[in-house]
Amino acid sequence: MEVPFSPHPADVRVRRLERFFELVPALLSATVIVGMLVVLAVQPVIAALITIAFVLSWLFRMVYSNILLTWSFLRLRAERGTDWMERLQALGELSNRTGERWAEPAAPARGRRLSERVYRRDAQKLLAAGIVPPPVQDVYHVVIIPIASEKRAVFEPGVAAIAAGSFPASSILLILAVEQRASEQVKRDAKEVEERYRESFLGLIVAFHPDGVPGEARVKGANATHAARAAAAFLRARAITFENVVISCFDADTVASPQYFACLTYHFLICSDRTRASFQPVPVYLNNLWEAPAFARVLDMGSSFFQLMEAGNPEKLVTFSSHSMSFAALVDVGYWPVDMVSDDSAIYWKAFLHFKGRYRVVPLPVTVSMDITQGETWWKTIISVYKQKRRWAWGVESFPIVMTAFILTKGIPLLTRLKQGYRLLQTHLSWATWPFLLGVMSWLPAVFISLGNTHSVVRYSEPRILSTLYNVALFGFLLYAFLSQLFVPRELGKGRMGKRIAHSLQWLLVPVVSLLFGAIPALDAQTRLLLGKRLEFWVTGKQRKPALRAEKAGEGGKPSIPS
Amino acid sequence: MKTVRSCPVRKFLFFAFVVGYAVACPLLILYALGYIVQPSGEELRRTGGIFVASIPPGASLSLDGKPYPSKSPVAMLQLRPGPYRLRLDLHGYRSWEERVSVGPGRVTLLDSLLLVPVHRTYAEVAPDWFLDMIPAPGYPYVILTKGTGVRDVVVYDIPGSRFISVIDGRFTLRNALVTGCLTVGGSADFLLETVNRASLGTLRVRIQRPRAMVQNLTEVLPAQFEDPQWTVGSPEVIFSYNGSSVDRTNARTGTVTRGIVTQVSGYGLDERWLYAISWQRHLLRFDLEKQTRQDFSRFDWAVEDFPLGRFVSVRPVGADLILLWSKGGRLTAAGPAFRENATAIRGYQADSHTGRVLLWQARRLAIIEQHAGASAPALQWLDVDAKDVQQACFVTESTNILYRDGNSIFLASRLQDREWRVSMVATARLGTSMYYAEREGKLYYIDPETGRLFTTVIVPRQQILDLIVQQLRQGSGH
Repeated sequence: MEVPFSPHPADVRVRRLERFFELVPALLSATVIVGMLVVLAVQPVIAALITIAFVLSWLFRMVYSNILLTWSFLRLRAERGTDWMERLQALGELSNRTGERWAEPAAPARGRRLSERVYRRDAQKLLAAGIVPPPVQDVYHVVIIPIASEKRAVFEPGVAAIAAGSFPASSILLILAVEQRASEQVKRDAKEVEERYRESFLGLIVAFHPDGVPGEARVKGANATHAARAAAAFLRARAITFENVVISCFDADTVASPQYFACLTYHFLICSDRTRASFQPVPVYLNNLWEAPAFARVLDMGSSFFQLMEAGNPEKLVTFSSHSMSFAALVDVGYWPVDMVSDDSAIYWKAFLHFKGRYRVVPLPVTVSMDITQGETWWKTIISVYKQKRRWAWGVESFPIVMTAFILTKGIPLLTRLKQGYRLLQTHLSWATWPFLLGVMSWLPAVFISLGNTHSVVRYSEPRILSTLYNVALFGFLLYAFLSQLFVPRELGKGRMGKRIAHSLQWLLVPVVSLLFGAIPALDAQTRLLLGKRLEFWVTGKQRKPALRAEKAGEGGKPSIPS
Repeated sequence: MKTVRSCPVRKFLFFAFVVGYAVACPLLILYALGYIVQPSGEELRRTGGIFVASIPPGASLSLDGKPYPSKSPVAMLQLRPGPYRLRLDLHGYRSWEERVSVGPGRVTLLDSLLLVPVHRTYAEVAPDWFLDMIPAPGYPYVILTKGTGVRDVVVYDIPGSRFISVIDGRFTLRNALVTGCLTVGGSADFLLETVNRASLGTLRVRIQRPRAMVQNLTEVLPAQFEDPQWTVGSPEVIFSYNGSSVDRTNARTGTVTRGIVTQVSGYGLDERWLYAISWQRHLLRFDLEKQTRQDFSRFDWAVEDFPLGRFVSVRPVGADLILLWSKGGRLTAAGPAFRENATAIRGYQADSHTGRVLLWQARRLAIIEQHAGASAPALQWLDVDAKDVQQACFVTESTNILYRDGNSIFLASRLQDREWRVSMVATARLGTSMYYAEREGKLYYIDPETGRLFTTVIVPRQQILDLIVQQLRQGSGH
């Protein structure tokens, strides 16, 4: 049975199953938190032992994730000087030599070894498999930038960066997907940008997405789908085969690095099942780095690191925020869901189900830079950040659909279903509960044991063990502080020693911000799902100071790239 | 298809972490429970520990003669079960050494362990001679007398370090003799019972720094009254017993309400409730704010075998403990699942906050408190080898007790649950009282040689805040 990837299925049986799974995340999260409180009150010694086991598992996970993070970071850093266009050319030559053994080139320069090694490995595999990728010149890109109310200063740098990138813009179709309900100023801005950059691209279309289309919610996915359909018509008119087209759906503030499309094309071409894959760059939040408050910075830097960790473990990687995918796959699956807020992760699950589990996300060793959420005032920033994180956590809306499909759809191996279902649930459960368990509840067993006036040795050993475990975990945070320094491009960090120091110290805020902007928004989202109060898309506040715009203009509109 | 699953290094790493956790987690939990592997026999043994918190903190520790790396307060864990010789050393204080036993999986608590200074310093408060000190537990000032008359009563204001005369020279009753003094813990008021030319009188004294306000209540209070009491919140409303009922006198308006509770053989107050024992042997409770009677029959059984006919003082301690004390010295402590009777009780001190009660006979002291895991409080007699205990009070909750045995003042410190160690603190003039100022941690007494007011520090002042924090951290149970 085919389960539609929508929260509003017509089939009653599907709807009932989905409704059941809508209750699960919130009930499980509440059970974990309330259950722990009950155990604390009734059997504090047991609670202390559970806490020790949990904090130890968290520490093990942290160390494991940090190894993946370090590996992904090194990989990203190793590719910072890579000329992906040159690699694409080499790939073209390689296409003529299938079945040959790849000649070992001279020893690469220091600092390039990892990059060269990975490249050689990829090429060897391609040659050995006898796969002939299509010629580079046959590959086209479609880039969709959905705009709802974003100002020109927010989306224009992204357009300029694509035009100025190393991959020829003449093979890129850019679509500014503007909501019909957007203000006249936004529409005018989009038209002006179209006028300014039209000549640079294969095509630049401003597609106005009509409001109130039956079956659609006010979500980004509906706008992007409308734009993708326009792109399909454009491509068909020029007889461009969809199999050779990569589509990228960027947030309005996304500034792709100059090598992004070259790198994406390379990975698209070497991917043996390129029409069954999405491509995930590393999102970095540098556009307004020094303007955003520390708590917002640490959250977004944390999500960059999370993506890097996931990139080190692609089995678990799910598309997030700005990403790319095969256009043929997008058309096959029926475009993005038009009634779901979390279109970025939903499209992965939709494709995963459509292709019966034979769909994956390929991590790209390249960055796209975005804005840190910021309001006009501190308080507005807090509200914006909270709403953004709740929107991210609203990705839980995919859980009931995926689980229902896992039950009703045949063709996906049972083990895959179990693993993916567990991972999806575990992600949202840990999101909502771990900050509570780690930051608040881990210290309570000793207090509760004291109140019970017991002389148990656990009362004294538990805080001591936890202190030791947390002290070890501090090394993980030192790694984050160190890597976050390396993430700041040289030109952004120049003459800002104080801010750089604060940039490292901001990791001290993690226990508080992970609770306020991690667990609580996640619980909020899960509770909404439980109660059936669905979220609609809310445009995150993005502020850019005029000075920064000027600074960026002075750089020729080039995006920021981590050093 | 290039699959990410095939990365052998990551796979190995993942399984290495899973195996590492599977091994480390049970070991860590066993360690938390006190289990260690004995290197000699390679057997798993459950250990215990000792928690030591000294006052002052920072004492060096040694166990069986071997120095311990940390200083107090500290939890010494992974100790094999059995007896240990524990020693605490702190410069300026006498070494403390005791035999402490450790049980498997349990921590022996030595909380608020007061160290005794090598040279206790005794300070003379003023060069004046005093006849006596009036025992007033919980009263925020030291009440002293220089003679037997009302004009001889002075109050020592500890924070202000000054003496306040109760009356000035023009007061009409200045020559009256003081026959008694009544205080209520926490209240700044006290009553002086006087005799002036064969007529009895009552003065209400209220300390309003820097002077005392005196009100003559002789004409206001009922002719026959016994055991006057008031609350800290409304000190002008004085309750008294007249042999069969409780009267209420408003000292400000001069009005007396007779028989607010009738046919009772005793009563007592806390901030909100008035408790009384009816002639039908019921324990009654009245809401002072709403002027209504509440059901309190669950404590009826506490008074069943209490001898009536004599005035009985009723004192609630927390929500679940009631003390009944007759002037004959019989004391009943009763709770929902608990009743203890004791006779020849000379006095008691109850701490509503912790629910603990300290009571004393001539030769011994006792504590009523709830122990770990127990469903009801228990009475524990302290073996302190006393002869004539006149006064006693808690110091640092229930871990230390000051008591006056004859004219000697002792400090009893709890070692373990049922063991106490006694050290002498000072000698007061025979027949005079002592006063312990809890907030300042100081003992006041009258020096036997000079007759002057002396003081000595029991709990160093800088440690009092630490002590509160420590007690909060350790929980209210210790």
